[in-house]
Amino acid sequence: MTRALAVFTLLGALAACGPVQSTSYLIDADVQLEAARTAGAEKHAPYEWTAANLYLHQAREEVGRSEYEVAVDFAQKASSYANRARANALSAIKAGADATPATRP
Amino acid sequence: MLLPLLACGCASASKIRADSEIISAEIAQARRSGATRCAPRELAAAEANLDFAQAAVSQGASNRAEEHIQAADQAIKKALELSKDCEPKKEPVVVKVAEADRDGDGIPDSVDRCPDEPEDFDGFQDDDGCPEPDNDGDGVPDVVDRCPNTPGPAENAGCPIRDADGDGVPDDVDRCPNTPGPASNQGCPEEKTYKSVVVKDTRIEIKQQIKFKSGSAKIIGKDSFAILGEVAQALKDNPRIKRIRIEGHTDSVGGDAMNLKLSENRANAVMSQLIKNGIDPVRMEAVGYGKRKPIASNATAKGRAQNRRTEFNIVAE
Repeated sequence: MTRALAVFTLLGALAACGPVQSTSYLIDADVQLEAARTAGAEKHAPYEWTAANLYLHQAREEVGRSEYEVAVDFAQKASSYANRARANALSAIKAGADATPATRP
Repeated sequence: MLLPLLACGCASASKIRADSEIISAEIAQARRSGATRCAPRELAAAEANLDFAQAAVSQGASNRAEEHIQAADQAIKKALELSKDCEPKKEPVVVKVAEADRDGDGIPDSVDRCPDEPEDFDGFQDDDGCPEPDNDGDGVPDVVDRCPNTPGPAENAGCPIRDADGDGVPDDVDRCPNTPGPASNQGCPEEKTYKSVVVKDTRIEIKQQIKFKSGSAKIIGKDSFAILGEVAQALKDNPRIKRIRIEGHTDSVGGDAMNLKLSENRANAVMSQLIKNGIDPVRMEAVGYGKRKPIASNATAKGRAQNRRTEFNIVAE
């Protein structure tokens, strides 16, 4: 009985790991995206900004389909694009340019 | 029942892979065309949807994959459209072939008349590629010629000798540098010679005295008028003589007052005659000195004759 309870608990913990982990990445991506917005990425880094938003949106959809692994992958990409968007926006503002060349993550 | 469904799924996956490859190629083309600058949002959408489609395929969700492929296709088409004129225009590369220039003066040998001698670039005929060591050809090399572009003798450092009066006789040999005159007279004006008159530096000398009626200021004798005619002509020929003083002198015979008055009257008479001969009165003044300025002894007849005289002294030039 005790053994069965332990196995049940372990399986339950493993089952809950995916949503928790993906949610964490989504939150992280959200934060990065907000930082990029604050830096003016929408105007100064439109490529990275668009990509970051699309990946974050898709990550959420994948969570809704319980495709946590894919969701984490897309959330990480969203974070990466958001990071680059922020950096590029800050550089562009510093250089006085309207935009900087887009780069892939 | 299951077999057609499986066959349909395989066919759909194949189509998606084929479409993905096409879109990937179009994405690459769009990037080359500058879509990152001209269509960044569309490019990002195409790339992201392609990625989503591949994920959907791996999940076995063909329908979702198809939707993402369509979205990627639309996005990349728009990106390509927006990037048509985005590619930075490349400037035509002009390859300049350096022309041969043996003397290194910057003038190519093909147009350099002296390809082995560098041009001196001294502002004189600098386009022909040849140095001109003596621009003015006066025999004085430019390096020591103070007037390299104007001929002049070496004695004057290569500069031309001035000709102030412009008579063509250089000042260094012009005895009258400020008065035009022919070279035959060393640059001085040729003085006319007169039968009875000589123009000297300080006076117009007459060779014969003007005769007056005794005790009177009346001029007599053709010779006297001829002499005055020549004096007038000399004044006309010598405009440099601005003013003369006509002096009347007597001998010592008679009273002082009478002699003084007589000499004044005779000087005035001479001046009147010169005026008649066309001389401007402004150029003359008449003065009677009486017997005060003898030039010979009044003790002899010859001396007294010498003292009775009329003089034409130049007082202004």
